[in-house]
Amino acid sequence: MFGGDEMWTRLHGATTHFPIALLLTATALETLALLPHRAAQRWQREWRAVSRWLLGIGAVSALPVVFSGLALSRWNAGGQGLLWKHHLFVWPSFGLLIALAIWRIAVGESASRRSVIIYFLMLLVAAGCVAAAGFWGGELAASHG
Amino acid sequence: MMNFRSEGKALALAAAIAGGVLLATLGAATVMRGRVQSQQHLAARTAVGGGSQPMMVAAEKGRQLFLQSCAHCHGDDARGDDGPDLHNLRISDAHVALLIKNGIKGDMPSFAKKHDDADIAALTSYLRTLH
Ligand code: HEC
Repeated sequence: MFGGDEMWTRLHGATTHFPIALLLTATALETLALLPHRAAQRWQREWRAVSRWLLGIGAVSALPVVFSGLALSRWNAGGQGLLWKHHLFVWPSFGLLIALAIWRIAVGESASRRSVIIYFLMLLVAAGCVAAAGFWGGELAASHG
Repeated sequence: MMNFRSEGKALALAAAIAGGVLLATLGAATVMRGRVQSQQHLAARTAVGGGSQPMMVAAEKGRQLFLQSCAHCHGDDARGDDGPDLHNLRISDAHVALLIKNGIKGDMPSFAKKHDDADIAALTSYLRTLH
């Protein structure tokens, strides 16, 4: 599929790791902030603040990834086989990433504990989706020799 | 920093923007896809007349395999995308099998590990139904 689209292939490959790494790091920091351990609790606000901004940057960094990916697949947002599996996880990841980043930045530090837990669970779902999307994306790239 | 006192408002904002972005993306992709495909179909129609043939069991299995392994390059309907149109192949069954097994350096991967001889036979018989 990538024969005539060398540029998009490169761009997709170059940009794709940013949102993945940022989302996973943001999730790890939120996890730290939830740990009951004293040392973890002491930095809770800081973990969360950093996590929030990483997620925001992650959401923005996903835009060129999605664009180059779509250009690469000739605007095929669905597809078959590996491409379909990739998209099956890409779209939920993308939507969740944007929604979670906006929510987190909008509520700032004033979130209730209950919302923070729900937010955290959604973050885990997003992290799982992005990992799966990345996995199938890797398989796609590998199948293109 | 903007600080919404109500979490509900923040949630509505987040859902609206994320939903909007997602819909806009998928919508734009669908429109673009439609354009690309109508160009391809036009090219295909001028190249060959229609025509179909009852599909046999092997060919149906082959079609499934094709959708899994080949469609992202050759197009869902094998009319060509980045790989060529596979209708009316002029090469022999043995040659097709060899191409699937060995791949084409730089253009198409080898499927020797992924598909055994039975799969390749099914794929070949599917390709033979494409006129
Ligand atoms: C990475 C994209 C890609 C994948 C995946 C792929 N192909 Fe191809 N295929 C190509 C390209 C590109 C060519 C044209 C190469 C050339 O002409 O040098 C080609 C050529 C062919 C040809 C020769 C066409 C002719 O007119 O001689 C056949 C047959 C073929 N592919 C079948 C398959 C089958 C069956 C599969 C799935 C098992 C498959 N291809 C998967 C990219 C791909």
